[in-house]
Amino acid sequence: MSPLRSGIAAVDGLSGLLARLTVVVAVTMTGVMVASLVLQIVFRYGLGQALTWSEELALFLFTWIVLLVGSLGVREGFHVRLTLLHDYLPGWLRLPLDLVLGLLVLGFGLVLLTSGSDYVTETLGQVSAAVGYPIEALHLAAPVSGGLVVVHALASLLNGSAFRTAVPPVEELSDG
Amino acid sequence: AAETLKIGWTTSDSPNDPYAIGAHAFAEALEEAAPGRFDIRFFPSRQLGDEKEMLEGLKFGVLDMAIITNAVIANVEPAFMVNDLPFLYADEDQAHHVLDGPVGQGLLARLEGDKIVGLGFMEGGFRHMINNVRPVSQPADVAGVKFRVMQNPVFISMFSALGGNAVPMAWGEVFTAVQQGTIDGLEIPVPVIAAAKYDEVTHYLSLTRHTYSAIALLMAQRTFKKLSDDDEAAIRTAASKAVDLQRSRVAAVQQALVSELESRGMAVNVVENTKPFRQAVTPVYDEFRDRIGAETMDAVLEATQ
Amino acid sequence: MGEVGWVLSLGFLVLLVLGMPIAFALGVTAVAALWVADIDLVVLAQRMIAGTQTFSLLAVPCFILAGELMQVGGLSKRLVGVARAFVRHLTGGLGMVTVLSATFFAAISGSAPATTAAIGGLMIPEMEKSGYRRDFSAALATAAGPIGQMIPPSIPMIIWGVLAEESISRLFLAGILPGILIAAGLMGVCYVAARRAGLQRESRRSTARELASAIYDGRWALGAPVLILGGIYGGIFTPTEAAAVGVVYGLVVGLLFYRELRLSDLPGIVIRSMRTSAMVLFIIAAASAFGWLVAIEQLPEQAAALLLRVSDNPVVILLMVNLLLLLIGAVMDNIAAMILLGGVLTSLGAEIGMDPTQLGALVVINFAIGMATPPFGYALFVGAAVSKLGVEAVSKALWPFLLVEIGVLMLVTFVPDVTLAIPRWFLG
Ligand code: NA
Ligand code: NA
Repeated sequence: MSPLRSGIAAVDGLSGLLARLTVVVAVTMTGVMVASLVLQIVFRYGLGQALTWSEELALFLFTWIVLLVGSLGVREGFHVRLTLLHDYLPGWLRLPLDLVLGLLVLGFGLVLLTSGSDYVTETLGQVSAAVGYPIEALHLAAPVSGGLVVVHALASLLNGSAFRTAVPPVEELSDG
Repeated sequence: AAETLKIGWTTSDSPNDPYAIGAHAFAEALEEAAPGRFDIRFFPSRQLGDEKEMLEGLKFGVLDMAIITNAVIANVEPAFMVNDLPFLYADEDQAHHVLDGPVGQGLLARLEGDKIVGLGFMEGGFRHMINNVRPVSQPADVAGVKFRVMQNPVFISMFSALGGNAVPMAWGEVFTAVQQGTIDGLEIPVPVIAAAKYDEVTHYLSLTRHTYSAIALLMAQRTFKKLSDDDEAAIRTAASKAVDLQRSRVAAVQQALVSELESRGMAVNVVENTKPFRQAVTPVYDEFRDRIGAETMDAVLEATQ
Repeated sequence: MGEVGWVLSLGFLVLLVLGMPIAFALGVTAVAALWVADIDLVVLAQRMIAGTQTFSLLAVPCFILAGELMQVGGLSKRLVGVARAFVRHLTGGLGMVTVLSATFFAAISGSAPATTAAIGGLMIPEMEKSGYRRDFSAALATAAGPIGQMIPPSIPMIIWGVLAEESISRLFLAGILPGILIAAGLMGVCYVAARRAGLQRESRRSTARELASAIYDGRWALGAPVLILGGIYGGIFTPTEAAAVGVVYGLVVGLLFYRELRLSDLPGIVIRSMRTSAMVLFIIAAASAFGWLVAIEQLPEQAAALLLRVSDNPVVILLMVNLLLLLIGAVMDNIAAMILLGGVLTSLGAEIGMDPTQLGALVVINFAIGMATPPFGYALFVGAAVSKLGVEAVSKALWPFLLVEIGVLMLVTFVPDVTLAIPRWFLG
């Protein structure tokens, strides 16, 4: 295999691995998030003592889930978009357009990664409002999400699958 | 040309709102101190994000000024927690004395490390308790009542120390939660009771004065340093004048609002003697002593004995 | 409008039309605007975190997950059974079953496409078997989807409540009557269509015994809205907590009572729901960076002033707003649209003195209809997909239903009681 091909395969493999990892982490976090909300009610009624950490924990996990799974959308192409114009374009125009859009997504990921890292370092020492956990645990979600966007965007650009999915599959359609 | 200053706060731009009063007082005082030099733009109602973000925004220099609640600043500079200790300040005068003196100025100076210029402490008014179970006149009255508290360790500990049931809840859900009986009441400054129409869903207003709500007028160092010496001086002068102006206006508004709330059907009681409360919350003082810092703590305690 | 304003509006529109995913169109435009305005890019990271640090938004993934669990767990099937027992004997009865079960399902789910998927998947084939045209059936299921986000719970109502700082419980109540009116109107269309096509009634009227048996069989499904809404309005939990309770309820019923859910299904269901949620919430996160710039440029005030310059007659303004929202809803994702227009709409509402609850309901109902209108609508996409017809074919059959919905929209706009009577009665 040529070095270029093996490089592409490596990025693709990394993207796939990170995607699987993201799924496992997100499913676990969702479980804990729902559980802490339910515990909150149980404690307030069943035990007559309100929990002070449940809401903040649930919200912390929520941010992580959104930013993690959001990055997954770059790989799986489930983010919503208008395909009106796209569908009418001739094939030879679609490819360069997708390339440009893919590069923009990649650039966005890079900015989120770097500005997110700045955000984490600039706010070191700050604590959360209720529990007082170190705020970098929360802020870290931004650069991590940015980094994942970069890997997935790069992989899909390299293997030519950027924006493959025109309309998201049925089971993923729903935004309320 | 006039220098544009963007000032943000999270509450509404209403004539009864302490934050809005503060922003407008500063604008007036600044126009007087440096006529035509500044164009102040107001961003009320969380337009630029919540207080945590605005405070960070000042640090990053993406926002010029903000009026921020003390408790939020304490998440960045723990020494500020001292102001939120329950039943600390007996009345407004005592708070003004401490906050305008070396202790308060020392707190504001700590913000320099965060690239923020602390211009002074305005006030949100004392926080009081409202609920639907019974009037609170002694510590035992708090027991067993489900109070929503700010998401802040000092407030949570205070209610625990009083034997109450502290429920931290996001502000957006509180009104309906009181209305539906999910919680019994909350602790809140008077202007907010009126602004958010809590008199429609809560019966007892007990003037417990449990926490003095200090709100700080802050400026981004990045903005401040760009100014000429004259303009810097004008900002300082205007700030200290605005602090006085804001405090007297808020005092007038509060007095009027309490009678208005009473006339709208709330049962108001004044807690004359807060000593038993302060005694009951001694564990809270001990709990936060280390995080606040012994020096700050002792200085404040001495001034408020 | 300054150059930052132009970057924001034009940049976003161009990227959107070119087919950039909405979340990234918002994010990339925000980055460009920050750069042009010479503002520290750290704002991007900060706002994306802050946009998701809102407790009420937690209800979104929870309601989506709850809806998914209840569909897989066999609850929607039971709801169809109950609906059928009630209206099967009427002319157009099977169409009415579709509408009625969508209305029942709406009280569990907060989402239009989920409602179309849950009911359409079951009902479109059945309707076709009984002689209804497939495009009619698909259009009906599509048009019934919006009821899902009008009858509480409702994800767009939650998001509007967060945006406009309105009580979510109050907004929920405001959607009930319009939802019922739309359901009634859609059933009317079914009657007329069945009559014209000379379709036979499906069967005789249910006996009391059959009714009771259908209700008994559907008791756990019918219990879900009772628990969720009863819990919220009975003061037991907040809307966000109710959503989490819904998840647990869906789990328990699906696993233990109907036994159509297996533990091994769970990870798949969870991640599917989280994907759906992230579609919405990643837009919200990116829009919160975009929105910060919109606010700092004071664009909403300028836009509202512009609209008010056209006319200061409230009726004209309201008609303009409706037209604008319907057009935007036709071509755009409703959450993104709400976030972009939230500021303008609340300023306009305050200007013409509209009750904020009515305004919220108006906005949400407009965008609910937008879920079904071509060319861009999730309910429409789902309707097209489950019926295996194209978007175009379903769109052509949609118009009688859309007329009904626009009629109800006019009632909502000009008769405050349609939205306000129920919240006033419940909450004072
Ligand atoms: Na619903
Ligand atoms: Na549409």
